[in-house]
Amino acid sequence: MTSTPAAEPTPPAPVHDERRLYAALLTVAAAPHVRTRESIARIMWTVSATLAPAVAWAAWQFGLRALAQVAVCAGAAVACEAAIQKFRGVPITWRDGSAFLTGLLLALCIPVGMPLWMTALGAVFAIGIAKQPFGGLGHNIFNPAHAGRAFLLASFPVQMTTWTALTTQVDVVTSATPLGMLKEQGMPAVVATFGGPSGLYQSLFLGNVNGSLGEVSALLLLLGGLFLVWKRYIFWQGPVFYIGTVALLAWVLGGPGWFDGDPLFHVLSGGLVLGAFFMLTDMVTSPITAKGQVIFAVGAGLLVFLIRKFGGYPEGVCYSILLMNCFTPLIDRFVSPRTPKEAHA
Amino acid sequence: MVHSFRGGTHVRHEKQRTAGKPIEPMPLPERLVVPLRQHIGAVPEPIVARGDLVAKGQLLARSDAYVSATVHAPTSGVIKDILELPHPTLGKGMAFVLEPDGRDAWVEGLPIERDWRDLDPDALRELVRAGGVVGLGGAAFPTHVKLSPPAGTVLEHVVVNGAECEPYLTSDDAVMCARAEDLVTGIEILLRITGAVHGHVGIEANKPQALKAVAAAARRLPQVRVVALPTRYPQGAERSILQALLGKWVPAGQLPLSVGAIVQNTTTCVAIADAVVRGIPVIDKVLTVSGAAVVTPRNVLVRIGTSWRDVLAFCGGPTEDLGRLVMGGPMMGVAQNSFDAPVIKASSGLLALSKAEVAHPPEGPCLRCGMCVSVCPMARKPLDFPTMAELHLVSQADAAGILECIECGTCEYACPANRPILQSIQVLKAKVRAARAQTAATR
Repeated sequence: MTSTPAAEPTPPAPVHDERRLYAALLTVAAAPHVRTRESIARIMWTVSATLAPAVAWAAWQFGLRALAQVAVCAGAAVACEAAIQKFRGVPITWRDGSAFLTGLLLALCIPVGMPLWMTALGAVFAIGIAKQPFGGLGHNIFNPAHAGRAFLLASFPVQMTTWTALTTQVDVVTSATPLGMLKEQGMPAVVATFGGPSGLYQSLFLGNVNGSLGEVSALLLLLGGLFLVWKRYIFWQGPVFYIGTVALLAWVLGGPGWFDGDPLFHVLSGGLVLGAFFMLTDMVTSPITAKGQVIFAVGAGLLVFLIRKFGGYPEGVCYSILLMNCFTPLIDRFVSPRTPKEAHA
Repeated sequence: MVHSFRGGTHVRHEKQRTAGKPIEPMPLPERLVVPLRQHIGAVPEPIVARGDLVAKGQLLARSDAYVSATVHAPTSGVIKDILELPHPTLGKGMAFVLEPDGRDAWVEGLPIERDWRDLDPDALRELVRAGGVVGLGGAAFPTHVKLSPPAGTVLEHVVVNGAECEPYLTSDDAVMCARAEDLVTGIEILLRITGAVHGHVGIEANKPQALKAVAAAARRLPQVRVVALPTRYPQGAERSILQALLGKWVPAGQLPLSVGAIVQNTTTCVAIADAVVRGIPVIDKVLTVSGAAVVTPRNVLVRIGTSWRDVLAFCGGPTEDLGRLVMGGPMMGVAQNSFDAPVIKASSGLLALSKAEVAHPPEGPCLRCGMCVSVCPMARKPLDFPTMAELHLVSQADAAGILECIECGTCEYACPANRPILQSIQVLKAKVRAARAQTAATR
């Protein structure tokens, strides 16, 4: 290019070089010619961002160890996804944020004291067994984060149920979770530990209780979840019917007699709020219609209560969602939206 | 009554470029290309020949078939040729090449001032037919046919569609503001022809001036109500606007007649008034010329047959950034492959969309988010169709009710994974129709 004489520079094109403009070949394409600004990546990273306050709260409550858990888990998930996609010879898509979100959600489902190598292994299971072998994003049957958690609970039951005391609560003597206490010592003991019912609810709601990283603050999770509903990233029916079913069953059947259970305790404790807004509503593994979401959520709520009340584990959110994931294809097959006339026919 | 319909979504309306701008008449171009076929139905036969001098409003082509529409000369001049030329929706089509003489002289006797109230419904319908009136919202179905329901049908409602839910377009808005009186006269004529007792005008709430103008003009007709509809695409789809205004749903495979209604676009009503009251046929059209890749977006009044090239030149021309030229709105409009294709009766806009506006990011996997299902006004499951198209699952697509799809494009607009949903539906529909035809033939 240096040999080109600089004596005759081409003049800048006029704003309207009509001949040139009209000579350009027009591109045709099928309608619609415009589309939403939403994208997979935008949805995934936005969901991750709405979890940031809950992660920050966990870091405040549990110390930097909480952040290490999140970083290791998300990092392992992303690395595993990239490695498998490289092996499969398909485009590497970690930028879409779905593997990161899986890692983040898994980290929020495990105790802060979990050895980091176990956390990483859980993330590898989530991506390498529950997601990629099915065909990657959009094709997996089970919620990958919950599949990873189930794997960890089956493999390392002791570490998965060892709860480190909160750094901010010097006067909390026990390091058991409220649901664990309920299972082993009964409701009066739980209430006594928190100095009465109002203290209990306040601690649960604001997040001064022990548990997994994502079990601590119902308030922050709720705010994040409401944001997702407002963005229409999730159906409101899922969380409402899930939490509603658990609350109803806890009230009717949860106490020693009929209708004297404690619905608020059941709703605010454990991973219910996290599960309701962030796991049950996973686009890939939950039904595609609002009506399907209702069936799905009621079924999952029923399972949560059955596990909490009669099962061997204190908490049932993870299994309730995994079990209902099995029914999603069936629900989607039989629940179809109807036009007004079809509905009457 | 709640004025709502199933599904739909908010689309970026982008109407600000031309909203509220007046209708600017465009000077006559040097050449007009007037296609014979501008409607659904039989192609009319030319009744003028090469070299003939024609006057503005003179009949150029007609058909004996009932489902057809006449074509008139948009101005006075000479017929230079009749040959196959670029067509905005058909690719190519036979057309008159008319060289205007610049006098723009009306054919003798036009326009007139007719006292239409003395005429009976059949005579009125014949005047609509003679005016070459078709559905000007884009469907281009001959209006006189729509106004001839089978014997025994009771028509109760005339629904006038002023939703203009397509983004960018403001031509209906401009026409409603400028010609509200004629719009109401058109409704009056429609009520007379059909014997309907109620008139409903549905206008999306983002057009306050049009709402005000039409409501004021309609005050003289107590049986006509003007309703502000929520701004949601596809509010103007036939079933959607009927559901919103009448609370009635037209069953699959049936016409609005089944709920005792006919639906007409606002611009069509104005054209009916023109044809019946003044004898003026459809020879011009208000177009919204918009998009980020046109220098001066505006609402223009152009003669049928004006090329896109001339229309764009009147609006300052396209910019370097032109990504796609679209006739109609961005949701259902037709991409143009030639600057030489002309304005036809069904044109309501010309969009010079920039490369950024038509950007199509790479397709991702379906997340099964259900967005397409939630927004589908026809309550289908659009997410299934791309897979069915890939795997040639034609009978499954038929069973899934694919033929009910109105191709509004809302599903594909809303898809965060940029799936080619509408295109898959169009491919599948053709296959389903072919399969049905084959089954019918073998029986």
